[in-house]
Amino acid sequence: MNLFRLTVLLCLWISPFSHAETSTDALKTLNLYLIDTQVIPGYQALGEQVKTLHERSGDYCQKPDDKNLAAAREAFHKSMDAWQNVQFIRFGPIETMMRVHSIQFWPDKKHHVRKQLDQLIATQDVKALELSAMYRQPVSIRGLPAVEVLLFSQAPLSGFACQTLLAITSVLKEDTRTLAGEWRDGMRSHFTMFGDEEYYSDAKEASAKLIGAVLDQLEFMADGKLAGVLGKTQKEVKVKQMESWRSERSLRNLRINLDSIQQTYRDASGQGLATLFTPEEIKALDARFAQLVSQINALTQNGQGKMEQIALEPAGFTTLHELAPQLRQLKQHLETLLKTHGVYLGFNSRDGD
Amino acid sequence: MHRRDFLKLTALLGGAALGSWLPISNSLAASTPSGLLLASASSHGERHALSFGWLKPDGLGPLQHVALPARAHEVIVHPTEPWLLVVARRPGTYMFVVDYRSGEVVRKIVSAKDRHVFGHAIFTADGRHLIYPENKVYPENDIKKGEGRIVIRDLSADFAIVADHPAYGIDTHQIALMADQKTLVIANGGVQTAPDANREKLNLDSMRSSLDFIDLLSGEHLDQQTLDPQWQQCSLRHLDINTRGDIIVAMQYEGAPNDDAPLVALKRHGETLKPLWGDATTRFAMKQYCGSAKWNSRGDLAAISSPRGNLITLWRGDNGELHSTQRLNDGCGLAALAGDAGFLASSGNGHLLHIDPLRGSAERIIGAIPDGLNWDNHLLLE
Repeated sequence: MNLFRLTVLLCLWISPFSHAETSTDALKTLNLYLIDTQVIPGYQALGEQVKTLHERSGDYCQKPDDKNLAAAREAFHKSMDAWQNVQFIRFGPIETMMRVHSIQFWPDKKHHVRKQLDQLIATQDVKALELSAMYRQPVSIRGLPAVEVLLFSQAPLSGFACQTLLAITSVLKEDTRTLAGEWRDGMRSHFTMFGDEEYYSDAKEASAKLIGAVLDQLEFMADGKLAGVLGKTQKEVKVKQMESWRSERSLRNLRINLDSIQQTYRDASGQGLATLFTPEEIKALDARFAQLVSQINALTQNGQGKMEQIALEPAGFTTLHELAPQLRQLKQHLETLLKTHGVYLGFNSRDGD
Repeated sequence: MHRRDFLKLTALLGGAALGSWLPISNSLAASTPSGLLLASASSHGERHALSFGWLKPDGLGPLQHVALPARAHEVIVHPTEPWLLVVARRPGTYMFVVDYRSGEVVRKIVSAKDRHVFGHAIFTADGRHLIYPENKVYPENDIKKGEGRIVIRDLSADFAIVADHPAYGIDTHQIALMADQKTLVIANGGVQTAPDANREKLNLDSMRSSLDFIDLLSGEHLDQQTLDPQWQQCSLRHLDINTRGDIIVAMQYEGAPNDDAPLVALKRHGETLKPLWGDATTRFAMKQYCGSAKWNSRGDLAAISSPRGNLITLWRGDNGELHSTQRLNDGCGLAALAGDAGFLASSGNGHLLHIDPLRGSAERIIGAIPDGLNWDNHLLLE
């Protein structure tokens, strides 16, 4: 008999799942829970914080003293906190008008933000600062990094630079004020109605997008925010490539990212991705999260620890360097568990060639 | 134009209602009088297969599945024998030749110990030779070092290797023969990976990708085409060639997600390789990643799949402009239908979609596709 004879398996190849299959109802419930408790409130908070940032920037430009500068910087921090909380949502309304890139243009290896900002300020052209004109400016200077340059590197600001700050926060306010509503009144419905004519054919496909975004954030944290700026040895550390190096809050960003991922995994009421898993699986995942939180907390030292400084110390570099593989392992752990429960986060889109 | 817009347009024009599991469109039916062989690598959970069946006017018939030892990439058909050939995904080492009438594996080809395949292969038009890229690794010296090779086997000599040419690049991916059947075009992706370390990318800052042309007989390096150095992180991986010799290239950008990089390129016959841009919104929606490229049957419109962006984009061959877009979640595999019937696209979700650029419509193909089946990167329709 031919060694390679007849390996065709008609229906036999497609045997029933050997693992516990998560029901589409459970996934639909989970999707809507995450949208209602994480996505919409997160964007709502972002819109509110950016509105405050615009107001504090106005106060500062009206009276550019230390007190108003501190208030504007604090408003920037709260806006960036709110953004970091929803940064993982890289699909849906945030893609419209390329807001996913304009709200925060990063990575910025070629220093586009500072260069484009310098060019704009050099023009001293007030017409270029009108809202409609600002939308014709590069995306790199329409968001939080441009605000950061102005408030943390160039302050105290001259008259035109301050007007530029106000123009940017005005665009930011416009770009963020409707995101929560766009999800609530539009995007959310794509997670309730499925079919060939709909955005997603079923709850599984919708889950793949939403849960996939959560897991992608872990990879972005590991590869972009840590490995990409730390390099392999301490000599390779690129402080000026860190996410928020001017305001020295790159580690704070990472901490908030982990918090938001943990919330989607299991919030205070025990809801989230964890509802798909067994108690034993939850125990193992809890331990991974706890270890990461503990390590990052130790580094942040109640807000005193800065990645921009810690990375330049041998012990700090080592600790930061070890975070990236742990984040990747957490992602892998979650992805594997989801697969065992019949939740696949995409095929060609996640592991193509 | 997005799917929703297609639907609206069709409704406005009074066209047939579109929806799930509707009969195959007239244009597809017209192109399939006796049925077309549809084949692709597939996965179902952790099980991998070559899956194939017959596409007829009333939909896709029952699928047959040939179990595979690991995930595969492309399936090609022999021009004269009733054979499908399925190629392992890198860094896999197998190729199976399957008789699609019986489902028997009639030949199993395995790479040498220091080699692995890259997921792609072609047959010459006369069916005598099998040509495919391999990676030659050097474990004794440096496990990370690799060299692209082009291997040629003679089917009339029991698949014996008759040539082993350099590919003039690394990360050698899809290949195609020019109309003269003598010149081979090679997409060298330029990304160095460690085959034993989960395909970790090792040289993203220094990578160089190119289209290389070699003489099939002598292996002589005839030409190399690259993009402007500022786009050195564009990995040229997938290509298709039309009857005029124009090459459409689907790229993957290895730089930052917010870099405004080209993802599609066109090399018209006799001209140099040029990036195609389309509009910025579509470009960013493609998420820096394209998975497959295919000309339509007339060779005047090319489809490019972007599975991360859930998008299929269509590009005009005459002026290189973006023609239209079509949403398909996790869509990647592409095949051309006869005449003006457009394209068939497959997705990681197990869906098949008929994209008809003339009518501006998209319809899902009905068929007994098992729940949970993932169509892999490429689609064959013959």
